[in-house]
Amino acid sequence: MMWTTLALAALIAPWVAAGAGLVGRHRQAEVARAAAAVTGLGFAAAAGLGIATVVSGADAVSVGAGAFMLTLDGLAIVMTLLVLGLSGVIQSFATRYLRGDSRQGWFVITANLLTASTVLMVGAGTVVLFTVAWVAAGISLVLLLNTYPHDRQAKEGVRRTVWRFVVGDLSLLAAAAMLILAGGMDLRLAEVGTVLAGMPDLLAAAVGVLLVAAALARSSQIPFHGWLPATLAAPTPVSALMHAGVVNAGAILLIRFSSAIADSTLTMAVVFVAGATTLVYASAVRLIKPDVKGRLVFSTMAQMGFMIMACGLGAFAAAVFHLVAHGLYKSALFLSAGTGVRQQAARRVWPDRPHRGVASAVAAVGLAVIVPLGAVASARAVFAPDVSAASAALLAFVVLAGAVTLGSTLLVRLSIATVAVSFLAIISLTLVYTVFVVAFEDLLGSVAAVGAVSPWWVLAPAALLIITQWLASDRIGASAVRDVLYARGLSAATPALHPVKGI
Amino acid sequence: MSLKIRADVARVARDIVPQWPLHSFIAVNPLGGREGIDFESIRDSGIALTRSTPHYLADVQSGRITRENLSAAVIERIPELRAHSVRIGSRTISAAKLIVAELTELAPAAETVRASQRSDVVDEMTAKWVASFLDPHPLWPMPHRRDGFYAAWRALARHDPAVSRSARRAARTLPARADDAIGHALSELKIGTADADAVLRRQLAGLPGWTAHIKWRAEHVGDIDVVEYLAVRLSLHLVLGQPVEDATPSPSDGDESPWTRAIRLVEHLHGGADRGATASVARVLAMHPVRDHPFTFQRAYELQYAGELLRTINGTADDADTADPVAPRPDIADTAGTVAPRPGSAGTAGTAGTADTVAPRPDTQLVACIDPRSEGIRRHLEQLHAGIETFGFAGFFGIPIRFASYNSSSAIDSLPALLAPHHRVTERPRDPASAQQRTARLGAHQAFAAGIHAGESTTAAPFAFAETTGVLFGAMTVLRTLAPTIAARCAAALTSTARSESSVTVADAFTLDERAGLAEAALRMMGLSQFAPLVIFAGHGSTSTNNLYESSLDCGACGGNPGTANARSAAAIFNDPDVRRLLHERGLPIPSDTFFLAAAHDTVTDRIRPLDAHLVPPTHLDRVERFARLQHTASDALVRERAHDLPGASPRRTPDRTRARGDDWAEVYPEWGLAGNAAFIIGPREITYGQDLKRRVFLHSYRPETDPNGAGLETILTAPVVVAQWINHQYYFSALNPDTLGAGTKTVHNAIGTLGVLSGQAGDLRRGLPWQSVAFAGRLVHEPMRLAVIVEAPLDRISAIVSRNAVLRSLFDNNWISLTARENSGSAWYSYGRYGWSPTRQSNIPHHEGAAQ
Repeated sequence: MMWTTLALAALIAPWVAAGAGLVGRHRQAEVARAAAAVTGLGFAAAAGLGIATVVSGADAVSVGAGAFMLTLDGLAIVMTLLVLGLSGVIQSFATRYLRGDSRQGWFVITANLLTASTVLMVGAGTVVLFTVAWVAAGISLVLLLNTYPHDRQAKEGVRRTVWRFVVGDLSLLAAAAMLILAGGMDLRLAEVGTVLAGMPDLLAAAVGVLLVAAALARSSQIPFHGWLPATLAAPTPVSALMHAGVVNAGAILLIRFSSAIADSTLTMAVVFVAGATTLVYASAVRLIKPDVKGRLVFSTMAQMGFMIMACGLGAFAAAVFHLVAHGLYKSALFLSAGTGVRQQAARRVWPDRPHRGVASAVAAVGLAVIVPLGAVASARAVFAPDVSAASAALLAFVVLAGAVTLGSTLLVRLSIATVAVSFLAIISLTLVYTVFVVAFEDLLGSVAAVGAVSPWWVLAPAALLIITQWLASDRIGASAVRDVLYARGLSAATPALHPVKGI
Repeated sequence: MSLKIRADVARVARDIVPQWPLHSFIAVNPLGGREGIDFESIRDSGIALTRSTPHYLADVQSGRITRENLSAAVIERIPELRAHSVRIGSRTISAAKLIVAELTELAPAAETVRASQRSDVVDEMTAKWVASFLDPHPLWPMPHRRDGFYAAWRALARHDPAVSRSARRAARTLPARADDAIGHALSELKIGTADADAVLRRQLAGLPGWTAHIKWRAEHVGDIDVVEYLAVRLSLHLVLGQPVEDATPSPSDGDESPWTRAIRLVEHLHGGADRGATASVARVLAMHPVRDHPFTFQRAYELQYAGELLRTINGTADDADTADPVAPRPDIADTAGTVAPRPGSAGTAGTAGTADTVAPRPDTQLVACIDPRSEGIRRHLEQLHAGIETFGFAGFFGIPIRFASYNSSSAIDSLPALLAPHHRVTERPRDPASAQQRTARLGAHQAFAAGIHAGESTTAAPFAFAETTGVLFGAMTVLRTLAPTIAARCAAALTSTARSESSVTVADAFTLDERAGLAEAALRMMGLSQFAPLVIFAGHGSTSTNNLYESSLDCGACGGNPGTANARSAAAIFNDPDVRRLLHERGLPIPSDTFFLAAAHDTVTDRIRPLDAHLVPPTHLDRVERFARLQHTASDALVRERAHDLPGASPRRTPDRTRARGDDWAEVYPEWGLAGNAAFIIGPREITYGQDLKRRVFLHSYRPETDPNGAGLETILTAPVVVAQWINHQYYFSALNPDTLGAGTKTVHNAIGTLGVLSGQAGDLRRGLPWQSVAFAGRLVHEPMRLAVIVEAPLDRISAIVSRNAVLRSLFDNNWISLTARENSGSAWYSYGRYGWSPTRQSNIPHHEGAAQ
């Protein structure tokens, strides 16, 4: 059957690519190109499958049987497209970027192992297969981080990552073991909720917390956040792949096991608090980082915090959309981490900033508030009039981002051209965003999140973010607090290689 | 107290070579502070001055180094051995032969320099603090930054959770001022005045990249200096209780004794013991200790190249009996006519040394930078059309400026690092309305960039910013990776600003007298006296994408900027009728039908694009058009030639495919830059005309006739040669020391603004050039050789210049670079040494003593 063929092609492509890397170690450059092409073919197959699914209106395609059953539903297909697409493009980038590097072959093998196990994970239909694929993805990532094994910083990064992944993966293994004991080897992910319902409350809560721990470790969330900043001694494409397709696995786990998590208020509160804390912490530390990739690392950490926080609100569709959009966004930023000098040179021809009058400043700020608010409200009213409270809380962030961007633009120059272009950009981006979010909500169906925390909780991290911004802006006042926070942020910003002693 | 400390610090920091930021990458000799001592006497732990012996032995195997080169190197290094020979058994073997035999046949174990990845906790903490302090665009500026590095650190260290409570408490008791802090730390750490210098020196060696950048910063920005930096380091030692003693032992000389070496050598050559011979062999070997072996190999490696190069220079005597070591220096006037001078080439400015013969007027003249990459385009243009004559001159064309484009907020210093910017040049638009429009568009770009920056970096905005723009970023990634050329065109269309026509305001920046003076100096220096109707000044720059080291590929004479502003200024000066009038008065008449055109040479695409085309008079449009067609063909041929050794390129593909790599954000080898640079030839183009120098040679045009008092030559030797020497040693040491003096692989580079890069997440600022600038697939593409300066000019004039200039004496006498010269075409070559000139040994000539074996 065509669907199964397409599904199998997408699933198998990265394994073939990894195998090619292993076989053709002596012709690194050619093999790297071939592997990228094979991954691209896998993407094409997944795209075909996606189109076929949409056209036919089918819910999911199932492949395999028993414990090794794959269920390619909407989420699985979207994630497969993202992972194969980004992996293919990043590998194509690396065919040139790593040209002549003695570790190019290693990159090809391990990047494809990572891609393959991630595709398997997002498509897994059973607890056993998900767990196996999850652990395999973790091991592949560690191998990938070991691309330059003799580098001291790389060694330190691997050490930190392994340590945290072991904790996270053991948590998942323990939770999976309990679920399998209760529900049998071929327990489907969809049936986890029913199995848990039959378990003692304490045990069920323990399963929920263990699953959350696994998700937090993989997404570099507090208290498992210490590994991601130590991974920059791997080549740029490794970072791009990791930040686009690995660190967001936490949300996939939470969604796949949502029936074990979403009903417990305590578990959802843990998810929300971990996400929100990481969000504020990483946003603050990022302001202190001087290096471009270091800023990206902490930015990813904060974005993952946002995604996990959305899960805690029960807004799983929003979390998945965030995951996809951020993957595209962050991989682009990593790959272009070498453009700083050119950008600086381009700035040299800019004229002096014009003097800003009071009237134009008021106009700029006014427009900056009204336009995004109006755009978001009207787009939502047209496409999806019934807005849940959790969605509204997240939409507030969209309005905020629009206001900051538009305001900063217009404060520099308020002219017909800047107003016209930025209005157009904000309105069209908001429209596209709304269409996508609504599509994702349709695609995933609504997960009943009985235990979701109140959307009002979002006010806490939002307020802390704004206070942090104020502290960072070097205004007078709160000097002592600022000193303490800066010193703490700086010490958190750089992973230490040496244990520090004192007198 | 504090004055003394400042003086101490200044003394120990004197040898540190400043490191420029990435946006104006100036090549430096990382060991430049040591040019006052002999190259070979430098013993820095972890720094390789040469390759290791196995590499040289492989070169001997492949013929890259010949035994003759080795003997020549031995005799050059140990002149006493010239006529020395030893009897072993029945054979007489020259001393040089003996040493060569030991070098090539016995391969003594030489120590390999291993770069230690040593760093201690103080290095780590200092690196973290200094990086955040110097961050050029901080999102959260360090509190108390205005008070200086030490004061800011002192105020914040008491809150630093990375150190223990007791260390934080100790930080509260530190002195308020940086120089007092150094004194306090030294006395608390019980360091006597006698040891203070050594301790400070070791502290500065801890993070050499940051130290070098701080040195630059102190001179150019002034917000930090070495005193502040040392105060933080020493205070950290103090509060952390870290001793300042250096644990690394000084490298020991593990030389095998000459006697044991002699026993082995005699046994090897003779097949048994010969006690008498062993003693005399040992005496010879003692003059060439094992530590010197790599230096002899290195010199032979250089001599081989230099010998080949001299042979390709037109007018070099083929049967160079000048190699005869006993021949006295012949009288130049006598030998000048003994070898028939080769004709330069058909159609160019006649033959060397015969300035009085009337040569046909060239059709077009191209003045290009001395940069080795210019050699390629000059050669291809000349091959294509006999009417083209080319010149080499420093790429700023002698016009030192600070340039700001029309109405822009900032300027570039487009001049050699040796000079200070005194003249501000900007643009005057031809059409004010269109210039105004351009400014408005640039202003809009600026506003959008500010908006995007705020969306990305304000604490609360990036989450939704990533969500709403993610799809655009994704599309951009796909396009830039799979179709870089289309992506570049899209980007160009989106950011196009419709360049408005303008001219440079060089007449406001320089007085008429200054302009005429600069023009005269330039003409006399490059020996340009007969003018074609069209003279083109081609400044060069390099365009690549996603390349932090883009500036290292730009013009070194323009402060790591493209030389376009200087080319435009030079053309404006030479087209100025008032300047021409003064030049005429000074005996340098320029025909009224000569037009000077500025152009930009892109070294990735090798295209030469005219600048200020609106200034071309109608009478010259045809000629400019003709040149455009010629450069098109020449450029294609050159790009095909370059595609042979560019990774991922192929001469079989169209040149445009090779050019497209400049647009490719995944490309780490946009071009080879100055890799391979090895020599600097000063002389008229005739002596290199028609020869393929493989883009390895700096070419400076020079004619002694047009420079009667030698001032031009003096400038060439003290400015362009010195800059070329920096570049040469930057490549040399980056190739030999990728972990310490080079920047390592680009793939893990992590930029701090435009100030420099880290490798990975933390550590020292990287120095030098990335590995991708000097090597491919683990093999050096840049052959590390010290610059061979080759001059055609009266030897007495050269001697006088060298002895007048301490910088040249240091460089030549201490073997940082070498100097070879001849009076004129056809006369013999002489090598400069510490004791004067000696005839250049032609290492291709087999030695007479070679027959003894």
